[in-house]
Amino acid sequence: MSVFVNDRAITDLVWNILAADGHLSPVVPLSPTVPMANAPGILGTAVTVSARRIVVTLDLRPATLVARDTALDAIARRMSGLIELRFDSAPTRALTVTCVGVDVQLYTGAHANPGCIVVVSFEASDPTRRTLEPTIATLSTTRRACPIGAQPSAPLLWLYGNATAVVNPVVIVADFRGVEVSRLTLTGVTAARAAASLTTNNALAIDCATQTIDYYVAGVKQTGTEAGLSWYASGVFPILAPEDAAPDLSAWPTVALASTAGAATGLLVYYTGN
Amino acid sequence: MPIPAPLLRRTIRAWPSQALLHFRGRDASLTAISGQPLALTRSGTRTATDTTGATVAAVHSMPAWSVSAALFDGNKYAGLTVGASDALLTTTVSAPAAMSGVVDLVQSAAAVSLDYFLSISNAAASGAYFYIGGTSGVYVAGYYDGATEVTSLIGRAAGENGKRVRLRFVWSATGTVQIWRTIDGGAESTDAVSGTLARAAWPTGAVWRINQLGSSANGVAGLLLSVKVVPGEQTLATIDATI
Repeated sequence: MSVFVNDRAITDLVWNILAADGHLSPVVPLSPTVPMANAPGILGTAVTVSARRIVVTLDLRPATLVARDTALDAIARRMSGLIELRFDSAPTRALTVTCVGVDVQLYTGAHANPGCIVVVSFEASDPTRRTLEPTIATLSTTRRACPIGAQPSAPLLWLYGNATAVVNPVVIVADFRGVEVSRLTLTGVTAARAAASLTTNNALAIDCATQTIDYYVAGVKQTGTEAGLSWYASGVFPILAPEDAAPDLSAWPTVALASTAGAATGLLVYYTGN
Repeated sequence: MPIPAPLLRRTIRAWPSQALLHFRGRDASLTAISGQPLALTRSGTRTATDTTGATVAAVHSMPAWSVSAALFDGNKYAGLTVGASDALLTTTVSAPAAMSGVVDLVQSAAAVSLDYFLSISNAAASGAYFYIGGTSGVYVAGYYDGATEVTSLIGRAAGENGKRVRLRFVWSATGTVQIWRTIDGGAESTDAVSGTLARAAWPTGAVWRINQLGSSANGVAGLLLSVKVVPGEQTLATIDATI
């Protein structure tokens, strides 16, 4: 077995990895999606899941006491900060964890023996094992199916302008049956902008996790009264949720674009998780 | 423990990166893991290819995140589609010192002249600069101190378009440059190390430039998977194990 901490196998420091526990159990309870009406920037309080605790037991057999301390220092150093944790049983999926404990157990009655057992505990506040590689989907006015895992996913979204202006773009999420579950309407009208239209070289970059919108004109992020959130009119930021999917039937939630004029196009990037 | 929502896209900039520069296409972020915000500059559109092979035109300076076709290992990888005019720029640069790195990409078209994957240079490409580049026949790593240039070359075989190419370079403590090439996960190959050339200070305005040298030289056309540069003279295994 290999355990990868920030892409680095820790096997170079240890004799063996005796056990790893907690990384395979499913995430329970499956969190519900709650409506977040009029709440761009306000996250639903009911969307909660339990943190995941992962324990990895390491067998250290250094040649000397000095080598033992050096190895323990190296382990502690690699466990600092936010860690992307992977196991070779699922090398394409990762957990984002923090180390909450390194417990060194010396062999009873043999404290001169440099060998020891090290129990490393991690906590994943977001218990989802997400894919390392994102799923990328092109968007248009045609509904685009978005395969997801057992957990909700907050995508990144780019909406593009066109020579024929895209006026008042809308992002529509529907469930696997085609029933609309949410829409994000972008009709921002400001003192300087009478109509919300994306023309050539214009784009909106929407992060549905942080619920932010950035507005770009020829690659320049607009600020002040032209800042991206001025485009927000109504609705909720798209979330791809498992209750909108029928995975056994390979039927997935869909995302489509609409507008009052022009042909809206875009790009959707998201990570699936279990 | 309450959290906003599961599977929120994680911001990775808080990771304890030890790299001088580390950009990963699979993060779909213009903030490098190593912390630098990257400014993407491109005046035209660039075609993004999604997981199913469908395409869309990303407009002016918008990232064309794409997924490769199945590569040698049967897997598809996400990256940033770039063309000759695409460049990712930092606003800072690392001090001239020994460093090693890997450029990982799927090139879609052979270069017609010397194209650049990565450089430390100013807009005018004046004064000292360091670069990784390639032509239709070779890949090259080089250092120019403003008057003299040293390079290391490795051949670029025909038919590499569409294959995963990893180019490793080492700019040594003594001032030599060497480049290695890995095709589709195979063994590394290299050629002669360059001569020695003492490092000069970077000129004013020098920054990291991914897919560019200076502001006018062409970049590469293809799918950029990652760029990672770490301090010192490092092996491929060490570079891979450093985030």
